[in-house]
Amino acid sequence: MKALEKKAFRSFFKDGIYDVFLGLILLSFGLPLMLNEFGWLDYETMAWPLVFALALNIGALVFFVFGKKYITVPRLGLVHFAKTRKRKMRHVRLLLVFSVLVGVATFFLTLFKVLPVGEKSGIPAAGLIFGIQALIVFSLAAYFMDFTRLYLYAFLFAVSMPVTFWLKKIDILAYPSLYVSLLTAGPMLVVGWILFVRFLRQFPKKIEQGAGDE
Amino acid sequence: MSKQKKSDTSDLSRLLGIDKVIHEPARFMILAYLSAVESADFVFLLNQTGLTQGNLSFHLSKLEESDYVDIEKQFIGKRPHTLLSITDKGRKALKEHLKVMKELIDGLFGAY
Repeated sequence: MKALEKKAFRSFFKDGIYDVFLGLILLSFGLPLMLNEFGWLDYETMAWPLVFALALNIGALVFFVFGKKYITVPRLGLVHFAKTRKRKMRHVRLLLVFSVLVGVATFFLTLFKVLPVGEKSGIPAAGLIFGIQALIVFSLAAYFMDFTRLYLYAFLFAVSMPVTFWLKKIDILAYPSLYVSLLTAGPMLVVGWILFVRFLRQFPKKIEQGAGDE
Repeated sequence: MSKQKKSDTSDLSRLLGIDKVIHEPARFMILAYLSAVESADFVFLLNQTGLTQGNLSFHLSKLEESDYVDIEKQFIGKRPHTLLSITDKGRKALKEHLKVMKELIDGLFGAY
């Protein structure tokens, strides 16, 4: 029965929406840096990069919520999982809240120069904190959600920021943020998009509830 | 003592007493899925079981007649929505069926 429940729960990951969502979130971290490298954005002030990142985050969230509600559920059906699964999902939500709190705290500690900016290594403390917490939070989420691909995404999230800063420091590439974003957010977006298209082909239209159950 | 136990579990006449409502593969599958979740709708079961709409509908009616499944028909907006859940009686019957089948299989093929 456990295997059956796991299979049913995991079937909701085959729409690729989680993958695209996480890819867009990761891209939102790299986008301001990329725009700056291209010379299209001068972030002397913090406002513009934050606006771009926030817009992409909101876009990702809208895609996730509406995608699940209007595309996945009408095609795969609605299910209320048992208490054990609900408890696991509560753990995931707590982890994500913790992750956001750590992220916000790190941002402000960096802004007020409480955290070291890593002048020697090129990797600021914020980058390392982001990497380590991404690895821990996403790996635990992958475990609780039985979402195998999330282990790989945890690794990609974890390496993205430290590697970008390190590449900037050693200065051997013209656009380090672009390459790192392509190699980290890229696979998530590609996998997600392929799964999404495959899902729409496999389930081309919504099944009308009650069509055959009268 | 163990000889006595073996003769009990390998008694094929017990097959005659098994619950035929559950023993049918489609209905067994439906009950197994519903026992793994709290509740699910018609579309979810359709996708998970691979049955046709008519088939699923037929077997659900049989399970409902035996009071193994609770079928709640509701409307979300103007669209009909069918929410299904296994009843306590259904869960108990499924457990009993699995127990009997396991004992029979162990008794017959346990030595292999």
